[in-house]
Amino acid sequence: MKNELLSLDAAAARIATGAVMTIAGDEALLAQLPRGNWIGGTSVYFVTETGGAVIRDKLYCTTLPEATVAQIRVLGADELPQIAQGYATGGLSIILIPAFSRAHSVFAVDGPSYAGFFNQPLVGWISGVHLDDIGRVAPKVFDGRSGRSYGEEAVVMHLSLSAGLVPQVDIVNIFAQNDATAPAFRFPQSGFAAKTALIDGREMSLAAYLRDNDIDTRLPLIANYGGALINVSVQSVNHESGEVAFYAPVMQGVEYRFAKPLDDYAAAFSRQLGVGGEGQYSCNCILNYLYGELEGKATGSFTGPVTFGEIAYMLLNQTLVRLELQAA
Amino acid sequence: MALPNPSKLKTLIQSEDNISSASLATRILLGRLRIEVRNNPTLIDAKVTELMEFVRVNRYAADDLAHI
Repeated sequence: MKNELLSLDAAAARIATGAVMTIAGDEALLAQLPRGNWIGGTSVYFVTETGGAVIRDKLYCTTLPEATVAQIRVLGADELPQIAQGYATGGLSIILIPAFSRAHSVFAVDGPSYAGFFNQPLVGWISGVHLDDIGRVAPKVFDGRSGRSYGEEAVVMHLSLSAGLVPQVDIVNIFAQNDATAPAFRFPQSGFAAKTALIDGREMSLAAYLRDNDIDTRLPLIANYGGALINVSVQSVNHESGEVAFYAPVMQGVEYRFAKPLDDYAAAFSRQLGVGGEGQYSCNCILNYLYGELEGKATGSFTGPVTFGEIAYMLLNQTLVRLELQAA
Repeated sequence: MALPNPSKLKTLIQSEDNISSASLATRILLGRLRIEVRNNPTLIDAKVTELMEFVRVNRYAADDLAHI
């Protein structure tokens, strides 16, 4: 696996060799790429070896010579439950979904319940746009076979791998759940928004609670999934309507606590990531980029697109996802 | 690696125990099964069956759950 920032011409030349690739970049560049074995998603934010950056004149390309077969599918929201039907034995799948699309919201809520969903490593990300363009420009994903872009569907690449390689997916969450004595939040139903929550067992207005207790909503709510800490980030708090919106769904019946504050965001990443990112596929969250003020700050050797949501089986927030192909 | 005992899987799903050394897939699946059982306890047998099937298909998960 090789990660590179390539010019349009260099990326096109690589595609022309028949290489299997995932590509992130500005829509204007992705739309000019030739047809081939690639999938793409829009992003202009990247983590590079020298730090976070907005890049519009190059494409972030991951080339996968380890892939022996690549099957690309475009799945609408109603077809996502069949995602596991494309899984190749011993392989892995990469999924890209446009932010704010129906596929995005459906996958976030229902994905982990799809039949056979966990029977193969699944990684990917939610495509985005420059923050100044939200509401004006729609995030897209691309099917390289046709060169077509999609604003409502997901694109999936199912890969078969060379013998002896095992894909390993993991997440890096720099946050820790607050102590057990901190308030616990439960939600009456699953969804991307909530007006009320059971806070330490008492049903309360969530928006009022956040305001009255001066909660730093740059910190995510964290749930513990059997030892995997899963973040849900607050998108907005509307005190008029009383609605709190999230970047990923809160789930009914799950106990959440806000994260402990961090002293130094970038240092926390460097500390947890260590070395060895050169040969790994990774993506990081736009909220980490913003709240951690990562532009120009190096966070180690894990590079990749900065995204509007990360996928390691399920949709994640404020998390780095990484994929490594290890020898068995 | 032998398949885990269903009664142990049932206890695991109904517990709050972390399996921090397990693969991400096993941890997230266990978390999802716990949510479903917490919201509807009558699903426990179906969720044990689902976890058993996951282990049967993904043999690394048997290693993940060998010491529960």
